[in-house]
Amino acid sequence: MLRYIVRRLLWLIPVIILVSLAIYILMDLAPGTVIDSLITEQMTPEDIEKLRQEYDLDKPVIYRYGKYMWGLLHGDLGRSQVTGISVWESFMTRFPATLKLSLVSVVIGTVLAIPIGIFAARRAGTIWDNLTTGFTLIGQSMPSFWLGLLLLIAFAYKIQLFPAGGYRGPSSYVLPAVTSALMMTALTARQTRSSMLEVLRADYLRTARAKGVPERLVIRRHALKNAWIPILTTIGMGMSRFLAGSAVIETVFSWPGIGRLTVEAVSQRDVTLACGCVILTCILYVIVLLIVDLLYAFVDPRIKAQYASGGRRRKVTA
Amino acid sequence: MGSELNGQAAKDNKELVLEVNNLVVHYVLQEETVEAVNGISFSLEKGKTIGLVGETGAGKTTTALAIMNLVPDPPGVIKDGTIKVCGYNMLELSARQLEKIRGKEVSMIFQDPMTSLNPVITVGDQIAESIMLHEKLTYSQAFNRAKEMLEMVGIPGARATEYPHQFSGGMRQRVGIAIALACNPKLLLADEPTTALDVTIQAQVLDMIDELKRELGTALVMITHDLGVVAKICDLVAVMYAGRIVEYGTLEDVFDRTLHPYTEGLFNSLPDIRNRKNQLQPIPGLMPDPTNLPRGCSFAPRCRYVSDACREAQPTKHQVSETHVIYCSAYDDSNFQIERARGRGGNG
Repeated sequence: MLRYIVRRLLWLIPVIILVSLAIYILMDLAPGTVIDSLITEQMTPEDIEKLRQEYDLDKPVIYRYGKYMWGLLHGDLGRSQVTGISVWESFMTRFPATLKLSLVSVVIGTVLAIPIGIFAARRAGTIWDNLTTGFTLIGQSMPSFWLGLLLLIAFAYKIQLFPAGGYRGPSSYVLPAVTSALMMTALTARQTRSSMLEVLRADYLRTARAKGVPERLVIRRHALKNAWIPILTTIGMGMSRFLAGSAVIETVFSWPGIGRLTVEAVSQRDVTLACGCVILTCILYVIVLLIVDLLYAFVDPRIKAQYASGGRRRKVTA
Repeated sequence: MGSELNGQAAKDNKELVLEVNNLVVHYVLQEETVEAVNGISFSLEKGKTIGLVGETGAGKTTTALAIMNLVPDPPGVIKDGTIKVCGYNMLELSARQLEKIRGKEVSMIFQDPMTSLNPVITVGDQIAESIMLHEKLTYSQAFNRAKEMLEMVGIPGARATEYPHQFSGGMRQRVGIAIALACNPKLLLADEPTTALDVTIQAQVLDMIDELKRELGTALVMITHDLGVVAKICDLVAVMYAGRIVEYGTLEDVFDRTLHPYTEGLFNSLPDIRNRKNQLQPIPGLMPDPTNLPRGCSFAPRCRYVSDACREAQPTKHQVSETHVIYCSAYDDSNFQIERARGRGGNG
């Protein structure tokens, strides 16, 4: 198990190298630099040149990248080139907002999605199944920025029920959480439905019924437990996606999270901050998926047996 | 037909554990209707064993599932008939009442041990679940009982915390048996319990079912296509063909005084070890399409004694002795004999 975790974490190294390199190159290719906002009309060309040297902009991109990586090797994510605050600190002040919104969305999404999915699977082929499938299709294909704006117009301007944005108190969670949870619900409900459909045909459910297990427990204890793995994967993917990339929703609802922090950093050409944010979200992404992977072992004893034997399949004892 | 049989048993004042009367089960699909079981009746006394014999598709498993009222619906529909298990009318009970009877009064061993156990629940818990549901024990008491059940079927109790994937096929089937017997049911349905197993394991499992059955006084419905299994453990035999019983009687009736042409065909398709040069005589043709059964006797297209009358009307019933019943119009002619009967001097 430990070996598996270490191996998975080691994979982060090439990922970080490639991702940061890509950011440095792309941001170098993009028009404008970080000093653009620092230049005033009073500055002489010499002043600007001095500023360029200060930010190493006179040297090739690979030099700046090398310098950044050297710092990273020593555990230093550097400082924001605009504010001068350390990247780690900037990230961590914004992270709680994103984490809370993600958790709320995932919880809402999961709590809604699993019953919906089970409901649809048990009535497969009926009008109810078609209705839920229709709902999940809409939920899945609706762009979140559009839905977010619609909700804002409806519930923040027309009926002033919730704040239009910002991060103050529980009511400010409602609209962004609903927006992101809808997609999550749609995806997870679809996955739950197909996963349950497969399990509902299984022979062991007939065995359970033949034992006199009440139908509600047949579904909850015997079927759902076998259907969990694909559902868990979808939830994990949703969680990691919220953590890493809710930039759109955070922008629409002016939510002070890491998604918006990254967007701001990129638009100000703050390479250090942008790169640091992306690296940290990469790490978050991998860790969440790793946790999901480890949860498999708790759900399915066959996977646990594989971990126990260090990846090799355990022999069946006869 | 069955009502008379049942009546007879009742006259003998024996305790009937199972009464199936004129059971009809169809699978209604969009395009067609599969006529799986078409009016079968039989009954079973306490502690006795009946073998339901027949080819794949004869409706044996459907019959067993109907007894549990577990025919998958949709598409399965129990069209007609009554089923009584220990006096309970299985087809009229509420879901709640059924849950109380299943696993307690009647339980079932399934054909494929590889798929009939839940892969993510320990075998101990799977046995204990049934005990907890029916005997109102605490979890730890039930789990201890589960361990005892495992010991009883020859698996160390310490392995109760292991999962099905850690057991071989034969052991999984033993677990299946332990689950079925966990609450000492009065009636056990065994649906080809040995078909998916190695020959050596088959004998072990069969011996064990036989022994446990005697020990616990359980009545057993043994579903099989293996006549050897029937000869080994059954008291009564019902030979099924295309959803109907064609011959019904005691083991001796059916094996030694065979009357029905289909039963004869089954025996002729068995290899004879003492006479290996003898050609096997398989029954020609295939079982009729259950979505399109012939108007007359469904065995007529394959029967060597067939007459026009057989193709036109359902076979007539002949009560040969108190225990032996056949459904075959050929016996309308009192001189008719099948070849197997001629061989033993024509004593029907």
